Amino acid sequence: MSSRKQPKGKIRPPKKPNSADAQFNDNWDRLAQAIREIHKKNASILSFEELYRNAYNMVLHKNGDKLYNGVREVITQHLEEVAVSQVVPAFPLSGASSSQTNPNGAGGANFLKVLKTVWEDHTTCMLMIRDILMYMDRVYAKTANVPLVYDLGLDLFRDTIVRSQNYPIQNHLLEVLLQQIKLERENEIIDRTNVKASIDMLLELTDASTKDTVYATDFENKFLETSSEYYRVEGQMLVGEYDAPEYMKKVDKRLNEEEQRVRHYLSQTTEPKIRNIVEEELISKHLKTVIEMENSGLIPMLRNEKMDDLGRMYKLFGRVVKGHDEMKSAISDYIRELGKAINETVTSNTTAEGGNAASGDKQTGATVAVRWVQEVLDLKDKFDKVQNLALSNDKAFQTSFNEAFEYFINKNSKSPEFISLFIDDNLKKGLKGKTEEEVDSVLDKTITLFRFIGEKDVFERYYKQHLAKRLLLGRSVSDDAERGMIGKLKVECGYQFTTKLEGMFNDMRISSDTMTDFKEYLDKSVLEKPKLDLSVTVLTSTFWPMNLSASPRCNLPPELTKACGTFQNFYLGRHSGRRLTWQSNMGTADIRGSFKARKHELNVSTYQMVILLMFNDKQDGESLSYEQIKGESDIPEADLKRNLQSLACAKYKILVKEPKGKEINPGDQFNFNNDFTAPLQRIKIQTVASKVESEGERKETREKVEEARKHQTEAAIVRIMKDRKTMEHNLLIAEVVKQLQSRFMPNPALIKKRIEALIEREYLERATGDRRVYNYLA
Amino acid sequence: LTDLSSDFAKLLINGDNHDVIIEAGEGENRREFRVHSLILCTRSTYFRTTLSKNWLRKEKGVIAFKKPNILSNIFEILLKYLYTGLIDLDILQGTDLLRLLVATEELDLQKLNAHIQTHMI
Repeated sequence: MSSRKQPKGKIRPPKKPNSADAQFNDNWDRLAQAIREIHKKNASILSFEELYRNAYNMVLHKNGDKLYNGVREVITQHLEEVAVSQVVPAFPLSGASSSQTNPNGAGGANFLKVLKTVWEDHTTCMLMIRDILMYMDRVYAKTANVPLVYDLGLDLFRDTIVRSQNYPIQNHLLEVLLQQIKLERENEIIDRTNVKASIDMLLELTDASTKDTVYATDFENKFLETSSEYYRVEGQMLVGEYDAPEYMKKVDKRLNEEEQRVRHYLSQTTEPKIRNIVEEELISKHLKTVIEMENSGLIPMLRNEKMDDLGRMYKLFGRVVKGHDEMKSAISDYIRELGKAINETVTSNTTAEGGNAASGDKQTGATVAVRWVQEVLDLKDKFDKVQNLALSNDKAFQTSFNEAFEYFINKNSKSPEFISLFIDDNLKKGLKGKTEEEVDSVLDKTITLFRFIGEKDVFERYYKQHLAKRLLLGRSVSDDAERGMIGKLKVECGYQFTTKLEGMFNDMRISSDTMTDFKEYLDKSVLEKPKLDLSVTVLTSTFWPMNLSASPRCNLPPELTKACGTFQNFYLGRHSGRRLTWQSNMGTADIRGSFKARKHELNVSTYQMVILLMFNDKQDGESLSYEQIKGESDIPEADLKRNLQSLACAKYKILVKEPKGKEINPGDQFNFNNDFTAPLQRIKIQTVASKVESEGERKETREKVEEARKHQTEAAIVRIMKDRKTMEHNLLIAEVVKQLQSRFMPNPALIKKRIEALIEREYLERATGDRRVYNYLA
Repeated sequence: LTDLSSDFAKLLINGDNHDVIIEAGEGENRREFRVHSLILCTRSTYFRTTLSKNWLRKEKGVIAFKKPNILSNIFEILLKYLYTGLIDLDILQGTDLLRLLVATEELDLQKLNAHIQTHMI
């Protein structure tokens, strides 16, 4: 359009330079005067149209820079005046003493109020100035690359007022702001609107060099520094004065306050920074102190189950890096400590009672085991509760707790046995005191302990033993409960783990069918019927935990031997190719005994029956010596002693021993106790536990487990090698460990021995080139 | 859209419910337009500013605005454009076209300004 410049009426370009200057000066005078009027809040007398046209013409006539500089000068002048006449007189009494002379910071508040007014006036004026200089902004400022007039106003305000070179406005402003915040931290009421106005002002002003807000460059760092210092002091003070729960409440409150403060009158960008400071000064620095506070720290909270406090600690400490780690390790240590104590009471009890927690229903062992498991379960319950109520079920905490439980449970080498005994106890007595649901929930909890056991194969062995006893002695409370338990184990360890257990159940079921058939067989047969009721349970030798190949010797009474023979014929007739071995050590018998007072039905073990039947042939008062009984019955010595003890030294004394005493010794004499009385007609003779023998059993169990492990390890090796054909030593070891660890932790030395055994038996060979590599031989 | 434009054009002509009286031109050329602040403010920054709380001046209860340096016939074209969005440049002579162009520059009507320039080329 400039190329077509033509006369344009009123805005025709001036012809003479001096007249143009004159016109500019004239126009500018009027405009400057108008700006002054705006500053005096007299804008109502001004005409927008004229002023706009005025500025428009100046810019149109290339006087944009003159106009711009002129405006800058007028505004600067005005702001200087404002500084002197309004801001400086409002300075609070000199900084340091002001808080003393004005305890409520009134001077400071007033200063902020004045500043707020000054700022509001300035922005209002600048908006109006921007209106009339709209054309200058659009055309001149853009081409000359200078700030728009409103931004120019902000810069001028920043340099003339906020960062005045002539007056210490900035110092006062920062000091007053920090002082106001400090007052608020000390629970004084301050006028937040004034503070907010100043903060907003600082946020609107930009620092020329950093291009960041003046808030960020001038205020924020100072604020953070003073806050750091403030909370450093406060942290030390609080730690000294308050107990842990109170301390945490204070910290919670502080965090909350700072968050509110930021929300109400600071910049959101400050929020994470001030939060970090409070967290650092009040949490990180005092983590350990608070955790370890005597009588109120983490451990006392756990001991007294202060869930609220624990929850608060969890939340607070989660804010800082090390917080949860410290908590976790403190709690884990505590669990280990408690676990150790539980383990210790058990070992001290066992030694004190002279009993041994070996297999079976021996009183001392079982009660210790049950108590141990119960205590561990209680502990687990307690920490589950903590986890649930205070720790939001935090997975990391759960893992660390589990590790702690695993640690101390496996510290007790008897734990697999104890847990099995505990289950035994529940499945045996179960319904007497508890409902089925209760038993079920107890067993569920027990399973969680089972998970912690490293040596699951040891547990399996004990479980089999206990299950066998329950099944054979008919002690199991219910089939459903038993099956339920096996189901749970199956879920934990898989099919392989429970097949044998299920096999045992199967044997029991088939046996009961077999017995029905046997009775029919007897009814139909022409054979002489046995003089007693024989009930046989046929067990598959591989499923059951007894050493079935070596049948214990025992001379059974002839009637019984005969009955056994009849059954054997019957059974082998149906299943050819099977072999039956009689386990006289596992049986029970109901016999009737006539005493002086009355007749009693005695439920005894097979061995006890054999012993008692010997006295049938004897006269009153005639005694049998230990050696006689031993020779005639051929019962293994250990079993014999135990059974004699049950008959002569326990609650029901069917036999009388000479000399009296708890122990059975060679040379002892035994008499039938004709004077025996008991309130009940039916009497069950318990078999007494014997410590020496149980220790032996333990060892035996251990050995059996070791033996089983050898087989399992070899099986695993062969399985892997069959699949891979060739494999390096370390990789093979790692793979074997991986496969077996759900049952037990095999040690590498054991695996190595098994590999060598397999090489010897030519399942494997060492590779010709590399002796650390094995090949599979098909 | 043509309906809308013609209805708005009527609004400008009959001045129903006007709240602003604009006096354009000087001397003989002077003429008053009865217009609506709502429409002007919506259509132009210039008018939005001058009719804003800080700057509006009232005479007898109506906002009064004087624009002496723009000829009333040119101003009328501008108003029509602001009301209807339509403008017919072909009926304008060279000088008027130029006057219109200068007026759009002052009143910051940039779209129209650009339109006129392309029309002139």
